[in-house]
Amino acid sequence: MKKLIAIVLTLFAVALFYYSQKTPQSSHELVVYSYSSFASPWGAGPEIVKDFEAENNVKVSLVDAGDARTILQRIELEKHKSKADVVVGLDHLILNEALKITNWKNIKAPGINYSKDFPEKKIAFDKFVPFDWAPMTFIYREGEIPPPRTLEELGAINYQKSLVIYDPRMSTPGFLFADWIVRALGADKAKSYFSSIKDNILTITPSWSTGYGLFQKKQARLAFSYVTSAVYHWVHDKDLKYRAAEFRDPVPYHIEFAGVLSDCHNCSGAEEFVKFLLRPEIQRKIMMMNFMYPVLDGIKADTAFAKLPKLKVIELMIGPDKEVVFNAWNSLIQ
Amino acid sequence: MTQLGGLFFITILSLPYLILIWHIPQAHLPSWSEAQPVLLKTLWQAFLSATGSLFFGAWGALGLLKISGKRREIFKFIFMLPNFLPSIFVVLSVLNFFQPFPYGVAGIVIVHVLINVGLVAFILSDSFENQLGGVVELAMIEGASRFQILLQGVLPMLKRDLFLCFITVFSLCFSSFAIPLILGGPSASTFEILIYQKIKIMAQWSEALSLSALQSLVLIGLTLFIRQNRPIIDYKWRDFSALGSKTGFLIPLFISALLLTGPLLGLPAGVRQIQNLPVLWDMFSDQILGSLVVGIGSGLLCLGMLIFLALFYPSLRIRKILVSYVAPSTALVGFSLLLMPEIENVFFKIILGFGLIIFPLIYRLRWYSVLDALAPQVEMGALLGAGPFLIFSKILYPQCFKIACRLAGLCAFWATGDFAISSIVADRDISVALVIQGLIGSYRIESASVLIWPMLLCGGLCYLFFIGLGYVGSQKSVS
Amino acid sequence: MSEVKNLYLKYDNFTISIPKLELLDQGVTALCGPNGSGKTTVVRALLGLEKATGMEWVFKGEDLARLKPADRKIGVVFQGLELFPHMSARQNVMFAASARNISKTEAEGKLKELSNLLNVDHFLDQSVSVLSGGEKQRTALMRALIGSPRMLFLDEPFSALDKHLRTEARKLIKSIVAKHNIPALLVTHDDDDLKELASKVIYLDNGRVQTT
Repeated sequence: MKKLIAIVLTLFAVALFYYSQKTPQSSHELVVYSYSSFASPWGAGPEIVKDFEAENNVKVSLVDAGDARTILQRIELEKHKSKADVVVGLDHLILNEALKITNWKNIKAPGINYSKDFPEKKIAFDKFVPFDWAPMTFIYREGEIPPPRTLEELGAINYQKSLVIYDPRMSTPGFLFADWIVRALGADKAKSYFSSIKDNILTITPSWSTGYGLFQKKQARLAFSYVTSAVYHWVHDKDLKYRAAEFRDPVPYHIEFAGVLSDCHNCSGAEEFVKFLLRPEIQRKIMMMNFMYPVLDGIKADTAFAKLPKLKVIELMIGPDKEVVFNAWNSLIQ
Repeated sequence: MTQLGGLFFITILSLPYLILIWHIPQAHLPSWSEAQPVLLKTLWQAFLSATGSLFFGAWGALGLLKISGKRREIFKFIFMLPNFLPSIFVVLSVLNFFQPFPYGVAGIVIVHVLINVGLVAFILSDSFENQLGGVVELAMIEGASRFQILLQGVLPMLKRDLFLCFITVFSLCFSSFAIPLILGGPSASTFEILIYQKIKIMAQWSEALSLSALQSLVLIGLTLFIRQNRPIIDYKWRDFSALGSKTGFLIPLFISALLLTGPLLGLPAGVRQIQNLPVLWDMFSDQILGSLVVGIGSGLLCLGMLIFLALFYPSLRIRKILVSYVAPSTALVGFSLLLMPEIENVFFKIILGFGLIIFPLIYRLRWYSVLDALAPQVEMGALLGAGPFLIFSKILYPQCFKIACRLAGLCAFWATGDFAISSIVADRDISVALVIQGLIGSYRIESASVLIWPMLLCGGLCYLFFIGLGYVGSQKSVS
Repeated sequence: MSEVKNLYLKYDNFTISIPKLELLDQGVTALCGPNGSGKTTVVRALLGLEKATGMEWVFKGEDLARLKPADRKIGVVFQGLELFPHMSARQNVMFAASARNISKTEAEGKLKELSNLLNVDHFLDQSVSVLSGGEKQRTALMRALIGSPRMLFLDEPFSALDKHLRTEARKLIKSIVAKHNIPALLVTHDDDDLKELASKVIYLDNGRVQTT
């Protein structure tokens, strides 16, 4: 027993020492902060990084820095000691905050041949470059429940205890839902709307992943998610029952951006990486592994993504009024 | 023995608060009208959860008295497993079982109780074994019923231990995050989410810190009710047959089995899904190693802190301050670690952060009573002229090293399942727990349910390591 | 005589108020009184375990009240004995010896002498948790004596013993006190203890000395 304990302790010390060895950041290294599902081994990030490294003779460190908000907070806390060159995964809701927290480089992105359905083609993005997006809707299983087509239908009695939505204070999809209601109906009517659908909500989870997990496990029958979520089930689960509700009302959408920090160590590499995300073959990888729409035109065609319903989208608001949304939301939770 | 040692220790525990206070430019209090309704809701669910956990946990502890020796240790571990599972799997198991599920306060309380019964049974069984033996035997000889022994013997004698357990579970449920939200229904809200909101959405660090301090104050308030008494450590083998309960044994066992059905049911689909993720297997050994490093590292840190306290044996006042100390919110601890770029090693940060969060819990749960029980012997040793080191090496260490290792094993067990601190601090999926979170976050909940089992295995190995360390490291008493 | 002055202690619903107290510096001083009269508290104060600010205790020209408890070098046997349960009888005694920095050889010699006197050879290496009441008491006494204390405090040391063992124990204390010339303070409310052992009796009631 003593020998075993000694062996384990030795191995532990060796492992800890091994993990503490860090080579200093060189100019041939590029540090990319991104969110978990992008940076995870099955996400789009590692594949893209591999391709970029092969082409550019640079070592890329892909850092899983949590969700978009956590990434920003990390950068804010690290201040000028931040190792990040590039941030991948900022969404349109926090771009204003990103600008307040730190400085970003202007990116001379090539003329982007935006996809026809990408809603923000007209905006000239200088500091932040969009690389994927998706409209939001309700995902359901065919045969289990008739899909809602309007916000009004969501309050119908046949949806009792069917919906799973997410706390807007914790979750971007959750905020998008609450914001959608406020913008579609106005702040006052939104409060009564939330009260009217209360009985139809099975639960409000802290994150999209928990709520969608409940939906996948058939605890909920409708989950607010990206329209592209259905494709995951078609492709990986080979389950065609999963469908995206075709809303007649305009729906919100989520855009993800990449940006280069002014304090970058490898600024040229960083800019190249951001532009690399807009290559057609990389856009395709992002689409197939991130399960989001590409921003470039011509990528979706002849894929399962082309079979998704075409949804009308609401107008983008960068930096919406959080207080208004949370006030309206409070009428639901009180 | 020395006040300085105790004060130094409190300073280390308060490190997250100190770091954040240093970095936050101005103090702002949160609005009471915002905090008050949430505070009341959280207090109510925590109170009910702690009461239910204590009742069924104590019953479970009586159940553990029905078996003896190594089998008791094995079952203690099995009873603890629900405390270890990610909340999504607990929820899924419960939702499969309770149909329709009573969302709302009832739902939150049910799940909190199911999660914490095993923990309470684990801790109280030690208290029963160490303190009640003589009383139980005497009562048995005199023909008392189990009910009489419980009401007139157990409850009065173990009032403090029961209350400490209650406070611990209360604090766990008070700072609980996911379960109240998922199961509380549309009106659910918790104090922790308010803190989280201040940090993540509003970037109002000062208010978040104030809320965390308020949270701690509530829990400190409870500890003021802890009465001073002198627990004992009884070394004799005792006959507990008058007290042991078969149903008590079955309850936590059933709960563990129930809550493990969630990950179990997902296994077939998960295995199929994982076969399409070859990249997972490439890195798997790294994650297993990472989980073990986090587990053993956290356990060693906890062990070190427990032994440090025994070595310095702080005064009663310091010990009481420590029992009232509550760690700040997990999110705040995580972000305070990010403010320490000097520590580059992610594992060091995770181990430190987890240790700082868990230690107050461990101390309150058991170590406070252990140190108290040894106080008369420490006093005697001092009277005899022994210095602190002699008292520690000859009196304290032999009697409490094994208990310290068991508590460190508990810490290690929890640490291998941590993703709260790790997800803030780590820059990649360094442990199986983080991989599980990542899988859940990318549609792959079935795959995640497969990985629960290696995570449990890592936790079990870490726990066993510390149990073994306890046996090896403690001096054998003369038989 | 050693003289204790200004022993005042205040608790929530109890006060010790002893302006002056004389203890023999030879033989046995008995401290007796009803339950709750403050006997154990007085003992703890003299040991330094209760903070009696302003107290003076002059023993052979030295004010012991200024010293830390360990430095007062008083051998004590509490009512609960407070033996270290994980150690054997021998280990309990040797612990006290090493606490006083007594060399191993010297300690072994003293231990042999005491074990002959107290007749403990047959259980010296057993764990104290399996010893009988009388055996534990003798172990506690050895532990108190091995450090050559200047005084011996015995707080109801015979309470757990039967009549026969009590008689034996009293003889033992008497011979130890005489042979080693150590004054003792005996807390008791047993009349036989007073008759057999006490050279002086101090009666305490309600925290105050009533008679001596």
